Amino acid sequence: MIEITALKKSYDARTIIDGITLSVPKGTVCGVLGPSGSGKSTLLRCVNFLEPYEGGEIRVDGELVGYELDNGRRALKPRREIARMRSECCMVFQQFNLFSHMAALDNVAIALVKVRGLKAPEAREKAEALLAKVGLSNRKDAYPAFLSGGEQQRVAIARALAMQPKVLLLDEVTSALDPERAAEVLDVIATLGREGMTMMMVTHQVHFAREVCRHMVFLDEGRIVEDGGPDMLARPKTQRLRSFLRHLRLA
Amino acid sequence: MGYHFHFAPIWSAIPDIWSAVGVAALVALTIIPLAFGIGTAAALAAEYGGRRTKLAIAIYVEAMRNSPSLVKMYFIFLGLPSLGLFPSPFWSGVIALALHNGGYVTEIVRGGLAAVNRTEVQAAASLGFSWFDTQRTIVLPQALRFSLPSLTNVWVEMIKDTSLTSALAVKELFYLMTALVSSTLRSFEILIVFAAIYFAMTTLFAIAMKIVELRTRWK
Amino acid sequence: MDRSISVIQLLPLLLKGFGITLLLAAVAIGLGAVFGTLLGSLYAWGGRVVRAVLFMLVTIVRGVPLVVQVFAVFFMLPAYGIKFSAVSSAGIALTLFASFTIMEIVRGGIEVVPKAQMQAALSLGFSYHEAMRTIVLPQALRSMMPSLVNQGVFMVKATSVVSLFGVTEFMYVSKEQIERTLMGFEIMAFVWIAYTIVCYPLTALGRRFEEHLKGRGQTSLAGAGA
Repeated sequence: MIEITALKKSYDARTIIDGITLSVPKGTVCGVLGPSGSGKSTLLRCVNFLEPYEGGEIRVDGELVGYELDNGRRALKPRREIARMRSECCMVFQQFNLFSHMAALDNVAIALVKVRGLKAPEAREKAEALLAKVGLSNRKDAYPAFLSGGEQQRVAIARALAMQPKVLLLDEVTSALDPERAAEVLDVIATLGREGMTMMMVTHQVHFAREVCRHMVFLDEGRIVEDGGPDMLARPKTQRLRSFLRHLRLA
Repeated sequence: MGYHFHFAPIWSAIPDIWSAVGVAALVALTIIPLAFGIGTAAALAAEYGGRRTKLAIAIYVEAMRNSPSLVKMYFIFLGLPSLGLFPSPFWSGVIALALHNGGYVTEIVRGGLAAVNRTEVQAAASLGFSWFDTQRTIVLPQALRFSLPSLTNVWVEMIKDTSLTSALAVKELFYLMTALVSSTLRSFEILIVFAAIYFAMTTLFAIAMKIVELRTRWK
Repeated sequence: MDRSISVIQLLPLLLKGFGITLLLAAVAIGLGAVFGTLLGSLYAWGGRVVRAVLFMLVTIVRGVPLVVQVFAVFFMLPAYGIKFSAVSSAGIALTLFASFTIMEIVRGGIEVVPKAQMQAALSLGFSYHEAMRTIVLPQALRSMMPSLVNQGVFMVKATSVVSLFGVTEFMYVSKEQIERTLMGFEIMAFVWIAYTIVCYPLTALGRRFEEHLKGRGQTSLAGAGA
């Protein structure tokens, strides 16, 4: 579903992603680990084309992200195309980023109206079903400021699911939450994984990652240092991953 | 205190007062949407435009903020005829005040835009919102809501400034007030009544805006 | 070409009017600062009745157009047998207005400093006056600076209102010259620029003060008043 080939990305002179090749088959969950500054968030943001990239390519469902090839030369896709592709692989953010002037239900429904062109009543009906799925039917009229972090993040997931994306990108979605709240959110993600949603998730929750992810990559300094199955974390092969895991355990 | 109040001349002028209130309200209510449109458009242009656009908006804002609104009124009413344009007193006053007020609205809305979380803009982008939809449904509603208290302030100032259109012989409240004083010589009574009318107008407006503010809270 | 020469010929007259404008503004700001500080202290530290009266007065001053207030001074004083020249009457009216608006700023400035600051200073052994002078007033003054400068700009512009009462300040003189020469465009452009030259540096200064406050994580009192 996601094919990343020799991806390169830099800010000014600083290289953030230095040749990453990665494949996430349909219906699988790929965990991305790495110390801060390793480029893992940037990697997700490139897949959503919130960041442009200079080298290599990203394909989602076979389609090149952000660019089109014109006689072998890369050109930016039209804005509308970029927007459409983004709505097919939605991102969930560490800080939730809910629309603060809209109640939970409208947060989920608004993109259905604006992006998918649904009528408002129909959009709200779908939104209610999604809020029920993440266990928040009773909070649908609450504004984000009145929701707990865990509730906000579940609304954000429902908001992304509303687009019926081919791929869900999860960027440290539990890092801003205390363990109890994080568990609520992780439950929702585990369910999605069992239902066959293709996901790429950046996380520090090692135990959770082992349960949910079929495939894992460990990034450092913009490169994949190690990749493998869930047992990769139990038997790290590289010194770099071993010391990373040790730090995580201490933290 | 040997002063005897005589309000009788004022009672007989009530129809005139009503129509003057109507003119003042018409001037103010024409200016608000104009200034609001100018300010919002200019703020968006300053936020997203190129260097030249930004500079042009900055010059506009400074040209409005650093001189009295009367200057713009006379400039339009007495200055444009030199160029062969002859705007009516009403429109000279309305356009001058709308431009003047629009400069302040620009600054306020810019502040409002800056207060909107950039991360929400990204969230909208990641859901596939177009730029236009992002502005219209995510950014502007919040920016304008943040701007409301300051907008109330500058619009109260503007409502008071409508009295200056009397200088162009727009027949609003202050114009009528001076006319009544010279025809009836009951200056004290007239002063009290007209001050009260202005006070009621600005206060009612501020209360109405406060209600809008309370109705649109999300925190 | 011929017309632009005449604008230069009008300069002495126009600038004389501008001088009166600046004089009026300076008097209103100067006296207004003195009275405003006194009134503001009264407001912040006064009893219930004093506060109620001052609140009522400032509410009226802010809710009624300045022209109406100037009108009151021009027509009420003679009614009590007090006669002043037009310029003096204008000065009195503008000073009254400035006093009440500055009163609000001063009161806000005093109230913005938490009482705990004074208590902390007293607990360290400062005398009341020392605490006031070195701890409370500097903070109050800093938070007031943007609003005070903005109010200064506001007063320079507000003086134009008295042209409606025949005071021969900048606006009045300019209008007179327009009626005489019919050079509305040139003269009003000149007036516009002249006001801007005086007000812009002050506006920029006010903004500097505001940014300075923000940089220290303090809030200013300045709303975006016109």
